[in-house]
Amino acid sequence: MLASGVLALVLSFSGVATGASVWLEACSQASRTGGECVGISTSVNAEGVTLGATVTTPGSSASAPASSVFSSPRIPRPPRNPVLGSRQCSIILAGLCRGQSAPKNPPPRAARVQRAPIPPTSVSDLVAFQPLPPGIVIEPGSWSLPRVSTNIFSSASAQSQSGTLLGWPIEVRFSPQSYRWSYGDGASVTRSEPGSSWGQNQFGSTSTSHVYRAPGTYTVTLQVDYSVSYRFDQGGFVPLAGVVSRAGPPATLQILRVDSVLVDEGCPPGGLVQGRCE
Amino acid sequence: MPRLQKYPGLALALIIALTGCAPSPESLEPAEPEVPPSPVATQLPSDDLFEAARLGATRAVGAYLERSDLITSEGGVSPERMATLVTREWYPKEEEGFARFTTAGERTLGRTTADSLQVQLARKLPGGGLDIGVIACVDATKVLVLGLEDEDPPVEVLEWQGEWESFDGTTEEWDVIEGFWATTSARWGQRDAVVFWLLGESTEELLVDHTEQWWGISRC
Repeated sequence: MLASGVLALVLSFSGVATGASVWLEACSQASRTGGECVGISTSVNAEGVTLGATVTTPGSSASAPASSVFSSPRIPRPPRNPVLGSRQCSIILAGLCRGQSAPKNPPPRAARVQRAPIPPTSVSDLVAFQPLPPGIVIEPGSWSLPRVSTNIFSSASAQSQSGTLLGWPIEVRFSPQSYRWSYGDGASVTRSEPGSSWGQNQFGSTSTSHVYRAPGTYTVTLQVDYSVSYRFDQGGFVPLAGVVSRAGPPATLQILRVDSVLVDEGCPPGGLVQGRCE
Repeated sequence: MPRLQKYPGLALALIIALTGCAPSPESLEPAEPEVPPSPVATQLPSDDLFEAARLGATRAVGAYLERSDLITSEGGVSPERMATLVTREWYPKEEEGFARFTTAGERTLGRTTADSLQVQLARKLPGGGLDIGVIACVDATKVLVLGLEDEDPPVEVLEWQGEWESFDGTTEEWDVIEGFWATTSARWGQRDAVVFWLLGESTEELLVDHTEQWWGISRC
């Protein structure tokens, strides 16, 4: 059962991470022995993406100069102190990690604690990213009229966020893929484009306009699905399968009532009061 | 037709059967060739193939690790010695790994071993040859990475690492161990689960085509 599970995971690797999987770097044995292989795990869910990395640093002397470590920028510096409590270092005796069991013959070396060598240690780090909430723009404004086009579009755009993972730069890019609209009048639609301002063509139909049939107050909501890619330490962007969905704050829209008023010569500015020309 | 002459009934039945199968004049369109379905079992690797793959992969991975140790023990020089054990596509990665030893002025001391090797995939390629994927625990915890000009460590240091959890040193031995670590920049290798992809014409001549660290569940 374990073997088949491992097989499935092995076969899922193609250099591109899946919804919740691991991206692995090809690494020769010489590189592994040198301690420079880093793996990045990725997890994409509906709310965001989490990137994690684990690097196993080989043991070293506490007094070892930092320059002795490989200078590749991908290698986090090994910790400079023994990690008491780790699997390899549940106990420190005579300044040395002694593993799980106490020695039968521990030498009294309390004064030498500062010179303890460092056992191989795994260091993990996680960093989470989430796209900014998408904005909703309504034209002509927070009001409109029934039976004409109300232009509703999104201000969401591709965005990039930066962080650090194990002390090294990591960048995540969110790109909008689809826009799921709910207009509050029972209608909903999924579009692939954010839409744009209607410009001079006011109340004209646009690719994202919506027509309300009746006056009232409506709440418009938007959820944007983003595709995600990331890059580590200025490398190439690696796309991740799955999408991250983010909803924006809802927008309230007033659809006004329209009354026809028969007037003689038109109302003077400000003369129309409650449907009457005064 | 000497055999059919002995069995005229059979010959007649055969002629009738063949006539019945002939396309009628109205159906001159070439019929779809009927490919008899192969039994599923013949498409799966046999136990023999898996066992041969395991033996071949064990040999290939062992030789690969041994050669890697040899080159890193000499500071990463002459990486071309690895060329006969890996594919042409993978070789640049090896050069890259050895070059870092050369640049850092470091070498290794000790032997890397592999255990718990599991064959995950073994298949015959359509054009011939084999494609084999395995996961193995690669243990370099007894391999010391140290400066190219550094002297070999005292034997007590190697014994201590080899018996990490149970080493029961004397006061003198601990003096030696601590004395060594107080002055050196050396460090131990590590134990990793590693995926190896191997290619070859047969299980006797597999080459490493790709390796990467395995971060999933493993026996390591």
